[in-house]
Amino acid sequence: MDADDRQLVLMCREGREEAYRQLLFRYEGYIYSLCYRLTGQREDALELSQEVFLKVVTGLPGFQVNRPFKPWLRRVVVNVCLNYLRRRTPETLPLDQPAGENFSLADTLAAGRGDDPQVRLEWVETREALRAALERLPPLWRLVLALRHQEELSYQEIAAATGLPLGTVKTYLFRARNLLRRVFSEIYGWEEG
Amino acid sequence: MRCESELLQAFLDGELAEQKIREVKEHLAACRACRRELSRLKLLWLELARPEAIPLPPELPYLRQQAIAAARPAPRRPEKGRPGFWDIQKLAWRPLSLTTAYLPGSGEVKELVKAAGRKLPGLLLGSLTLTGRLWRLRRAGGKGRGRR
Repeated sequence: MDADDRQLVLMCREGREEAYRQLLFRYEGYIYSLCYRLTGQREDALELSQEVFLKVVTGLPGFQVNRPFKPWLRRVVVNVCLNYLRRRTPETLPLDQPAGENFSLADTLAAGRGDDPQVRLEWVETREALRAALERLPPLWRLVLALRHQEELSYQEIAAATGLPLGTVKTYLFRARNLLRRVFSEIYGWEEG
Repeated sequence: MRCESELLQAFLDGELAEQKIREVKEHLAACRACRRELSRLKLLWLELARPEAIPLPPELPYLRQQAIAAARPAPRRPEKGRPGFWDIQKLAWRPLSLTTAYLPGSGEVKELVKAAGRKLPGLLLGSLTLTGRLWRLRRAGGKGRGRR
């Protein structure tokens, strides 16, 4: 049976198990991928996905059916992830600051894997370097980056989805991309200035 | 306009007003360093937007089913063969309501008492009103059926 989101939500509200199964099946890949991007860990992403599933099932009665489903779902995922990050991160480790000033390609790769960064620099792929650099970013920076570049949200929409002030969203985005640009500069050997 | 990386980022994000876009374009036409910076940023944008194939773990369907079983609200309508509270009430009261509705003149008792200038106790008055309504409903229903 192929039904759009609205129909499925209406059927869920009647308590029909099959509708819940279809709705969650439709979005489970999206939920897991977003959780994975925000946490960078398989186990964490699984735990968060389960929490999102529960929130969706219990929260559907409060959802306004004349509105699109995906933005609501995204907000649920973002809230679950933010709560999780706040719970898990020690107070001494801020969610919005890089762990150190050194954000060179060598540092990035050294943090990602255990082997000699100088050796790996010679054959590093852009994709791998970018992934390693993203993992080193503060969680909130990673969050706004994922919402901007993967979800294609505007600054205003990111602020609404995360509850962060608009100015903070811009600052996180600019800073995160400046750091990533530095890594790219090393990969491609760009001359600066 | 000065050379500003943040402005170029906002330009690529499509977050600038029309006037500002025009200014940036004019600046880019005249500034080689900014054109170079823009092309570098575009490369980063392309990499960031590239969809990453994240393998889905096999546990997902199990977690999904677990959440549904744990949190799904009970179906709103009772299932066939299992009557709800109001269905039982309707069945239980049916003999009484049918009997009183067919009592000759049950709907007119109240009017008779009123005409005699007497008052009835509240409980009796309420039950008579109910039987009167039922009686009128039955009659109206009977007439409706007769017309067909």
